[in-house]
Amino acid sequence: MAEASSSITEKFFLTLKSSDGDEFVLEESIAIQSITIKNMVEDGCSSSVIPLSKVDTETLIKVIEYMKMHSSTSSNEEEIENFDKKFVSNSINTILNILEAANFLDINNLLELCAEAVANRIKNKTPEAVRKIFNITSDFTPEEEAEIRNETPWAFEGNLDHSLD
Amino acid sequence: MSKMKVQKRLAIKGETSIDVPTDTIFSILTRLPVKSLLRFKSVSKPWNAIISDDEFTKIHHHQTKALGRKKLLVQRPTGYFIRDLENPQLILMEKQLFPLKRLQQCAEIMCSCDGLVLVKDHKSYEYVLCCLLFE
Repeated sequence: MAEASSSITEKFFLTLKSSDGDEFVLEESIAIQSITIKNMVEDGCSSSVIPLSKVDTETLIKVIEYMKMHSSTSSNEEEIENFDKKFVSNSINTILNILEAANFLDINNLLELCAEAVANRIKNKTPEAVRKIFNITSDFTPEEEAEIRNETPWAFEGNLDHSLD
Repeated sequence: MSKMKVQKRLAIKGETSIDVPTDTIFSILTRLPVKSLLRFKSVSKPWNAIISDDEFTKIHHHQTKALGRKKLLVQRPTGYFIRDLENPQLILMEKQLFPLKRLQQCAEIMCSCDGLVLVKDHKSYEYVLCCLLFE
């Protein structure tokens, strides 16, 4: 620590490009929380712009916010906890987009946070609500569906949530 | 067999639904309680296939342990109770779930491991292995 003032390492910056074509400049030390980006940097692919073809602008902004908050140099534990709480109060579709981006970018903490958040949001929902949220068309016949319900009827009882968020 | 319906890739006008890749679905499902999973088997055939898969069951089990959803089974003269270790309340188990109805009066819990409970029936001198499904 004593030598910190004399040995400030040079800051490197990366440019990330969203699928919408927007570019974001970010400190390398923050961006390499993404293992995908870290590998690209180590392979020497980071001299120019890093294209993130699977991440749109809205999602990338959120991911960058998250990485900035979780980078080791800034922010204390309480701040991070409050940030995470607020972060997962986004709409379920937004969280699903971020989850997908976290999967692609290989940011494990973010993936865990979002997967847990989605699980919490859908755990009391009806199968019908889940289908709508995940854009799924049921491929069961009514008979097949009834058969599954009859295997464990108690799993379909209780106060189930029909809402879509 | 039903005709396989082709999933619409485009979101319906006015809605913001998205297609979610299997990886993502998998990471969400491993974090759900068993009751939700049994219900969501009826969402679609792919979901049913994921949830029914042995490998999924293993990962789900590890995940549940990692999340610390540990429960304590308590036997009292009035019945069996489940205690959530994160919640001080005792919750009476639904009787049809555990143990088998015929064992309710005169059974004794011998030992348990990972949600499996070995029960001794004092009437018939049988040993019965029961599976607990935690919510």
